[in-house]
Amino acid sequence: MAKQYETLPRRKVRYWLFRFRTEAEGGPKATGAPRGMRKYFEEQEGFGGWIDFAVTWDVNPEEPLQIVPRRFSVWEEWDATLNMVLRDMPGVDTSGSEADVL
Amino acid sequence: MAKIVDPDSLNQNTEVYIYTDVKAIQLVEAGNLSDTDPGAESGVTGQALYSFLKEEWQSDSDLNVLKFPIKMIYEAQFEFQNDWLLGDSDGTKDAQSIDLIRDAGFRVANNNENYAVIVSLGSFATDVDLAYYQQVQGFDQPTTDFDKSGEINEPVLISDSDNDLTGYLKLFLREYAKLYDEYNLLDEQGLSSLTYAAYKLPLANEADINVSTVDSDIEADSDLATMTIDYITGNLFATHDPASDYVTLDVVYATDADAGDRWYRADTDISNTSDNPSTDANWVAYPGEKQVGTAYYAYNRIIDFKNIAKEDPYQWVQWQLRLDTDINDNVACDSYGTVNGNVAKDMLYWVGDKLTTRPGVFIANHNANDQNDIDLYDITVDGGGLDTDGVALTSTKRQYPFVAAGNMVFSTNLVADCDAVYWMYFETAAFGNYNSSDAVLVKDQNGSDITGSITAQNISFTFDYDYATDGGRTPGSDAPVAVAAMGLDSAEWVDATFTITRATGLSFPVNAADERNYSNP
Repeated sequence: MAKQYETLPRRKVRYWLFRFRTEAEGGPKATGAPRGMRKYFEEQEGFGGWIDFAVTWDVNPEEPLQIVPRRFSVWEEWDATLNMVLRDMPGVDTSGSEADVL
Repeated sequence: MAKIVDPDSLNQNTEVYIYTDVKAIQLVEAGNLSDTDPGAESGVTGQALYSFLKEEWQSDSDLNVLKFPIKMIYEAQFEFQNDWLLGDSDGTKDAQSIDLIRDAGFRVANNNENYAVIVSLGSFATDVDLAYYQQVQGFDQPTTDFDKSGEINEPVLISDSDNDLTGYLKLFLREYAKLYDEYNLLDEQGLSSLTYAAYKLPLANEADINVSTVDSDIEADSDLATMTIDYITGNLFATHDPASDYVTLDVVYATDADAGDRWYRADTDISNTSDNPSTDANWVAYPGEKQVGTAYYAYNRIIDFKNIAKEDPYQWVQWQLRLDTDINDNVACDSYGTVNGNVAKDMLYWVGDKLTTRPGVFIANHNANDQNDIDLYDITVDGGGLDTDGVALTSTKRQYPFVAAGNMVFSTNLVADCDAVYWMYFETAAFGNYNSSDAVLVKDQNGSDITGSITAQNISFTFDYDYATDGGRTPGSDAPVAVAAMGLDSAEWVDATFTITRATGLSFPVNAADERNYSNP
């Protein structure tokens, strides 16, 4: 009989992986996670710790229970996107213009 | 916890509740979603929320019977549409849900609310540093604290059905013992108005090594309590032109020989002005005029240091700039009005050991020992006047003439001799060398001869290095001097030669032999 987590779609698998990551960061416990799912990933080759989920490793788009490495974290990818659409603005200058020095 | 940027971090009925009956979406601090400080490290991006809702709409038959709630315009801007809003199960606007949005400004069409999201760039010294903002220009206008401390990433309501606050947004970061920062979003980024979008802007701070006294001690210090800040009204700051018309409070610099290169302020609207404002009743002396060296310059914020050494007054000023009360002491009884400290323009900063003023700020009654360590930035004539905050558009550094200073250090037999006296002469001078009948006494910065009784081992002296011409001296040059001293009963006559250089902390030791022969029984 298939385990509960084996039938989850990728987005739901990743949801619980994010919850495990949040818990490892000191956030709420991942209550209600599919039984055995945490252990299944922790025993896989390529598991880099929960803090590094979505940072250095993720799950295969085609095989959501298979770990694959990430080149950039989801946050780095988002920052790159945001930087493209929002201009970096110049620094604050409240000192006025400075002419010659006596 | 981390900011949610991936829609897979969200789950219906954990982080996101969708109330179809009242068309409300509620974001809840649960599971992967947090609203902790700093805002840059919590919440959920608009794009992640949008992407999550799309996936839910695809798979949830209770949802896809309804029109979709969000129109995403681009990554940093979206709208709640089709009567949806961020609300609770009653369909009431939910402030917590709004606080959780990151990286995207948004509009809620059904209640006509528009939110800009402010994203700060740069580091805050600590995550407890709390920035605040002002949405109506004016030194008497209130401020609002950001919801979360630390680096900013949070929505600010910029307009609704009752208020339009899209024309001004200024951020401040002023914390005890930290350097101050501020940012006028529309001015700095050349915007005509704000819209519901994300705005990145620089705002950062770091430790201020020149502040160490706690606020309560600054406030309780009776000497500092006598200090004042005076704001002076005036506009224009241009060279006086008799052919021009002027309006009340225009400030001019009159270079006519009779006017004496001084500053004047129009007391009324003026046309056909005279050549000489000093004798024209329509003009009054500008109260912000200050003499630095031999010339007069214009300033519009005067801080009276009350002769206190500069380190403590700086801390007092920094404290004043965090008060939400009026800091304009109105010493000149001008009509500048209320200036709340927490929105007043920054006034002082340090360049090494030099206390430096922002444009238009003058330090009055500084301690004499600080004279060489103060740089004053004026309102430069014909420099375009002032900006909308009253800050000079063009400013020039003005410095007091350099005062050389030091101590004559007398031997103990001179100090012990009640009749001991000293003289400081120019060793070589155009009008007469030392050891001649025309010898010239050196004068201190106040014009007094450097001579007197020896009452202590260290007797200080000052010297107007940049301007003194006594004895035909060339100003700004090193001055060779001789210090002669003598007692009666205890110390013989002695002299020693030194050079006054462009420095402070000079030390001239004068050691007399013990007197063994003087007698006057």
